[in-house]
Amino acid sequence: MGFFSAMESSASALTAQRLRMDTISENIANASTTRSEEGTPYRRKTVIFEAQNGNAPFSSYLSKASRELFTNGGVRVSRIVEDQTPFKSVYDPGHPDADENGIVEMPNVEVVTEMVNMISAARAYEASVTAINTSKSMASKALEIGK
Amino acid sequence: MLNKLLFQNNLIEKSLDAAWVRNDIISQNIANVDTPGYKRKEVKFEEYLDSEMKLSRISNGKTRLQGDGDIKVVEDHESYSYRLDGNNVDIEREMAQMAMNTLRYNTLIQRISGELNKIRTVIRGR
Repeated sequence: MGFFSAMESSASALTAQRLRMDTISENIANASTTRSEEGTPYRRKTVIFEAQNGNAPFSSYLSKASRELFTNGGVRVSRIVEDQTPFKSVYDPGHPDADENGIVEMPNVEVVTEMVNMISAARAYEASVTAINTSKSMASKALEIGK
Repeated sequence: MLNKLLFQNNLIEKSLDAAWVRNDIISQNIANVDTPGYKRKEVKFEEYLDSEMKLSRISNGKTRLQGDGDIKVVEDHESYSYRLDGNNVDIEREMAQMAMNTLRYNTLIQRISGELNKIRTVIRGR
């Protein structure tokens, strides 16, 4: 029951959601990139979220109530993975990367999916901001005791 | 006598602690709203308080609501998960719980300030 642990959990969510937002922006920006460093079209990237349970503070070991489940439970991005779904094939003989049949391999990015994910990330971000503000108001309210 | 005066405050303090922990837990739930397989956590305190009151341990001062072992954090595996990723956090519910919890917390703060004011009045004698 640290004084700031609620805010730390929410802050970790802000960081994670912003990284997710960055990844989505990268996907949208590269929605028609046909050349990447590996020589293939751009592959869509996704983030993997993981509940954070490690680094419990000393106080949580001290207090009996918090020995089991009550740890600093924020969220973190464990890794960024590439989406392995096949590339889209588009017929475009005039494209410099077209093969002999005129087919161009385009990135496996669906702009609509990315937009939906972006809204979801923005909403989760807002929810965490609200949670931080609530924790903040509770902490400052505690200073009013005995006034 | 002063012990009796302050006993009420012990209860309020404990409830404040519970509200504080609940705020922490709700923040964790909101932070993990997109984590696959995460199960929401919940704070059990009022049930415990209720049973202690029914056993009238509180009125005769034999309550165990003093130490730390009574604010329980449990994982909720029962709530219906409508998502494919096994996560059962419902953001609307968490936000509502958070608003309720803040109100409860502010009420308790007001109560404890009132109690302290009463004691202050008694000490001043006017």
